[in-house]
Amino acid sequence: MNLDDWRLIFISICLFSVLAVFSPLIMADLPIKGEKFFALAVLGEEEMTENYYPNNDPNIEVGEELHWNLYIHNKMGGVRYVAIRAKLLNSTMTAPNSTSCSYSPASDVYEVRRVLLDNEVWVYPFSWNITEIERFEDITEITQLSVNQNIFEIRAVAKDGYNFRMVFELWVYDSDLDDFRYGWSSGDELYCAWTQLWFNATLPEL
Amino acid sequence: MNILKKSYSVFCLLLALNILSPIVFGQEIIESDAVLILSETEDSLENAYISLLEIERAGGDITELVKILNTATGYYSEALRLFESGEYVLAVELADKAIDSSNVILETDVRMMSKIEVYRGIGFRNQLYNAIGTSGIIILLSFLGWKVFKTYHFRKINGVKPEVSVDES
Repeated sequence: MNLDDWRLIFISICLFSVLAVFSPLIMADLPIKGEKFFALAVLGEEEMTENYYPNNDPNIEVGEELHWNLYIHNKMGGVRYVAIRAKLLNSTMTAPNSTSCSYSPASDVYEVRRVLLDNEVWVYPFSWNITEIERFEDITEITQLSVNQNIFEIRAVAKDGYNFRMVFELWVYDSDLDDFRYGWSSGDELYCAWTQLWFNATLPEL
Repeated sequence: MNILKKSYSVFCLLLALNILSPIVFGQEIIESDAVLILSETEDSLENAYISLLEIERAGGDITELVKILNTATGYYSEALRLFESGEYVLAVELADKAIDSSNVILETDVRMMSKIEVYRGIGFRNQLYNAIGTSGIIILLSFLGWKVFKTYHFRKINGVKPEVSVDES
């Protein structure tokens, strides 16, 4: 190598070193890239994806207690104010749509709100049971539900009590709208999260 | 005698009204008050959250404030449930607690934001001065290093240079 080559190496090292020194200042003003999302799930009694129903039997009797856990993970890159809305639906009622990000028109039975720090995981115990049920010929109607020791009057019907579902929707507070909205934006895309668990409502055996 | 009977009836009626009015009218007032206070609480919580966003964007630590706001949202959710079950007085009490907690955040926001602005300014300036100083030292050391290297390089070249016979004739 001649002297000019060595000079080039010296100048390059010098420039890279200066750039490295200034990099924290430059990086501080650059937006953090990466996918932003929420994760929503329902976990069983031991905070695992199992044991959702007593004796693993989805035929739920009046008064039979179910212990679920709502799991939510904030990966939005900042603090977020969220609400999880629980809705009781039958098989024919409109469920949320992940493609169009539209929520279920059914009114919510229960709502829980939480402010989540970036990358925070929150597990919320959701214990519930059917407290009142009515039957008219082959139609079963759930008229009262208890969630976390709170009683709620509802009206949800299903033929022979089959195929009820508890739907959980994730709503995020939007400061521009000044209200909660179903789903969230990441770049130009709109995303949403919901989940559901099916069960059958049965009358106690006489 | 008739007047006495009438007076007694009027007295009983007034007494009944006096006893029943707080129950009948008072409940209505409390319900409408509760609706108003719950609405105020929701606004207050949302404002507190917006303050948190601002503090976070400014680079402040919001961990403790988030805990306070979550306590407030807990009070608010409970207040809503109590309201639904007709326990307006308890609902209003919890809603007031939620507003108090939100106000802690809003008050902290004003104090914290001014501090963050000052600290951020100082922090950025210090970082910039440090970077300029370090870069100066790097450039200077590189320059000196280059000088030393060049001298060493020339000596090395001269050392390996073949001797040339000089014709002195």
